[in-house]
Amino acid sequence: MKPSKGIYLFVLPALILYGIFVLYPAFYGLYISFTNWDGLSAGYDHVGLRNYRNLLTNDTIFAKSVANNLKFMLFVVIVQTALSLLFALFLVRNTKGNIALRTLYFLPTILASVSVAFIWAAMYDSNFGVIKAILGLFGVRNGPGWLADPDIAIYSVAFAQVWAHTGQLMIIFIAGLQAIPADLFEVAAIEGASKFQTFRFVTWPLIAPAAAIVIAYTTLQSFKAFELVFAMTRGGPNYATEIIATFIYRLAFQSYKFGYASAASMVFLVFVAVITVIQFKLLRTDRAGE
Amino acid sequence: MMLLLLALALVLSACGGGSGSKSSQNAAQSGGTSSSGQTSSGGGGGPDETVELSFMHWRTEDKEVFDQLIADFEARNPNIKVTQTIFPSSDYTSIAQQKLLDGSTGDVFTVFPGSQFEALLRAGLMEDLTGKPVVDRFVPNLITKGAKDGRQYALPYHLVYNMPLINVDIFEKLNLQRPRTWSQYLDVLETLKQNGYIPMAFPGADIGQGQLMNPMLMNENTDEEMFPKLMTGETKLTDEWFVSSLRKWQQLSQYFQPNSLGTGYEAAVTLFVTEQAAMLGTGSFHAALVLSQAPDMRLDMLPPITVEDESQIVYEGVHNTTFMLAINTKSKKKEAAEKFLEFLAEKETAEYYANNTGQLGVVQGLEYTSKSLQFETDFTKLNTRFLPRSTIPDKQIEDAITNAISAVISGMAPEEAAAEAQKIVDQVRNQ
Amino acid sequence: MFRTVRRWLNLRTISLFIFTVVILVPLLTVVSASLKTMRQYVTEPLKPPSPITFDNYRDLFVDYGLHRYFVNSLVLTFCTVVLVILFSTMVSYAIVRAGGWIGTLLFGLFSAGLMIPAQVNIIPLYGLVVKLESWFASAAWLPDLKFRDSLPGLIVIEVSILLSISVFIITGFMKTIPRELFEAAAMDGSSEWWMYAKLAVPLSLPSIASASIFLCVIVWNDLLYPLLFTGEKAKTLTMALMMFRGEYESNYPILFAGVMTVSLPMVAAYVFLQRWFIAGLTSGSLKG
Repeated sequence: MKPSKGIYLFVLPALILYGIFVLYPAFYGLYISFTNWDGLSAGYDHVGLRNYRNLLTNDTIFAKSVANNLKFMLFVVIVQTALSLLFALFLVRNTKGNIALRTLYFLPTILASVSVAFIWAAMYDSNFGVIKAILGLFGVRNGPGWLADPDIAIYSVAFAQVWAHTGQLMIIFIAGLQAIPADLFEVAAIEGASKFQTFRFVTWPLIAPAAAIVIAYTTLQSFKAFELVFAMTRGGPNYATEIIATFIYRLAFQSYKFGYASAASMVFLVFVAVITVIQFKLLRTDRAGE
Repeated sequence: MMLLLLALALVLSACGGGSGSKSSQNAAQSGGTSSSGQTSSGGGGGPDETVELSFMHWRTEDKEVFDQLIADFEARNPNIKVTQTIFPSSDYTSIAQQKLLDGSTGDVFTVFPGSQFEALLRAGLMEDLTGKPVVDRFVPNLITKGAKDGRQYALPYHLVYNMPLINVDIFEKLNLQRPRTWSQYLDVLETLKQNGYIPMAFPGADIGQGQLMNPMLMNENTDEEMFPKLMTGETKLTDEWFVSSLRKWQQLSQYFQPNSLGTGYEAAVTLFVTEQAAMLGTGSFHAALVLSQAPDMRLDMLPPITVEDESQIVYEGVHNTTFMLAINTKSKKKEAAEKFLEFLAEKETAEYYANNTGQLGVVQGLEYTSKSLQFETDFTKLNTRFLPRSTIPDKQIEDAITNAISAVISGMAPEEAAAEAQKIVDQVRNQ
Repeated sequence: MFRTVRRWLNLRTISLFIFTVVILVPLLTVVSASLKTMRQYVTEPLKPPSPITFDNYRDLFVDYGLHRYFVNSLVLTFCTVVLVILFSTMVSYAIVRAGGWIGTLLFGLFSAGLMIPAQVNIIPLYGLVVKLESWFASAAWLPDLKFRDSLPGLIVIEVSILLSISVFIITGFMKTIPRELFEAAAMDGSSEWWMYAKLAVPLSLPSIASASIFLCVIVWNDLLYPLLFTGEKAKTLTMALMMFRGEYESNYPILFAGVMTVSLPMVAAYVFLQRWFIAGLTSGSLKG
């Protein structure tokens, strides 16, 4: 019943590499978070919890970046998950047309985040952007400042993220949908179930694992969308699009406060871990049996 | 199962074992990208001790020019081989600095004046060049930003004027005189506007605030230490000089193109090059780009004059000395590095570089033949101030200032914007 | 005819149409920009290219020798993905078989890598790599391994960092394989290796294919780690494209031409891998 002891050999190669190149630097970062190292000099002082105290009580920019990150994350998770599920349902059959569309929708994922940032910055440009041109066709002269208006900038960037990754997450849903045995659908059809009923009682419970992965992965991806945000707006205007990752980068490499930035990364890690755990718990109770 | 192991073995040997042959293969192929001349991959020092120098900088647009110069240098110094390692300026601070630490890259490298220079100084990464003959090749009062406490650590290669470019033909057509007071300046802008031009194309999405803030402040507070004193509290952003500047920004922004905060510098350049805008709110560094798209345009520079009365003018413009050359203290090839530095400081080299890249130089006695380096007004003869922005002690404060400007452009009251910026300063002082 | 129109005017068709437009328009602006000269790009950003010029594409190969870096990117991507899939499926298998708190602990441990921001890790990581190199060089009995400016070194680092994503995705799917399958096989005397290779992996093929395509794209487009760790010898395509971004000006037409060219192998990889995640499973699949 229990797996043999040899099972732990399976973990070994990965664990060694992971331990050296991911865990060790992370622990080193933890150590540095209690110092005021600037990332370059040979020497530094130990400052105890001062970095953490400043971060949590005395830093309006950090607070803003957390709020922005939440807005960004919620928008992306909700919109992207819904859209990728929707299109997975539409394109689940392996017809030539569907396969072609799936490939097309996947194309934005292939682009590097920096390229996506350039493309969408150009699209949103208030003078020569395509969106301005299209709105102009409909007679709208003074469209919103997509990236300049502090209230909507973060959502404009979030939309670019959704554009880039919906096709990617759609694949996970398709993999999940295609794993559902066909007989179940036949039975539902025989029993006279409507499309909605089939979805609710057959499809949804069985793609719950895929949904869990999509939601969790999208969440993590949206917390790490450093390149997209940085290349598109650099965190502006006035920190309206500053997310935690860009905050950390700024502190580490532009203000030379590496100890402080490490403290921020630790807080970031805890924050993301908590959100992920909450998500897992919520999604597990959703499952209508195995 | 056996198939799996076999596949694994094949994969690992292909990935790992092939490194030797692959890397020499790639080195031979990539010879063209590094620099001309023979590649001496792997192989350490040969019998005549070929020294491999690494020149690290951030100007990808200069690669071919440097390739040419390096070819000349290598022809004169057959036992030195120079490789360029270029990181675009956005990645330079993060990546490049790490590479300096173990001496493997950047025997000669470039530094930004201001906080990067200070940080590298603290870390002791720049070789002390004081007293070396190469220092004398540069214009003395332009190399101060590469020095500290009387010792010279870096030598700027670029001279940049951070003032708006103007289209001389448009100004002449409208008979506009160079303004000497703030109200005269506003009159010029108003005239341009009445005649259907966008008075100034302002890239508010990226570099506009950081560039224009300098001439806007140059005569408001002439204390060189006005920004460093923020850290001790001697000056505050809520002081009158800064608030007054913000008020002027409010007036100035009426003359930008609509949605200026959403305009990137490329779009601003387009507006200027297509003559929809009469001024470009960036600096001399864009002259080459503008002229490559509109070769017949005549260019000059005009800073905002913010004084009430002409007699209050102290500075006529703002300059920056950047792309500062330094030698890595951790380098193991300092002699060769010095030779390369001396080569770059030669008049012919610097002239070739300046004329082909459109960047003014700091080496003495340069003669410019490129049109992009010749402006109608000769600012080298005027009293210009060193870029105040580079004296800001922490990037967070710099951002607070540019954000205050953006806030004012979007309509916030100057006093309020200044107060918010000062809050950030107080936070940074506590860090 | 009216009936045909009504048939097409349902939610599915409309949504697909709208989304196709949303996906296509930005991509077309990239193609359009890549076919313009720099001058037309600056002076007439919104107009379609006229004349259409392929100079940018030609220059990529003739002037900038982009083909040289293809090999590096290909080797890097292929080796990294193969190794990551191999090691991570092994870990996922162990997690699924061990179950209980050990399984959860392992899963959490590997997933933690997803929550660590890369930017801050690079400083300690670089220092570590330098130390490792000097350690390997000084110990006589160890091979002189170079991590920097070498493809194998970069592969090792990339593999380590990407394990998290792969474990995360594949474990999620492997968990859905009924435990009874393994227990029955174990009682039959099958070894763990056999169960791994003959049961777990084949049944997880769709998720392995999904993870593979994700990993391919990530490694292919990675700029940060190649930038940090390689020099001229192991230069990748992404590093080569970086050359078109300057301090005060960027050559967008040629940059976008580069982006298009560099994306082609990934499209091919997707088309190839796609059949693996639409491959039918033994227990039945949706008939096409």
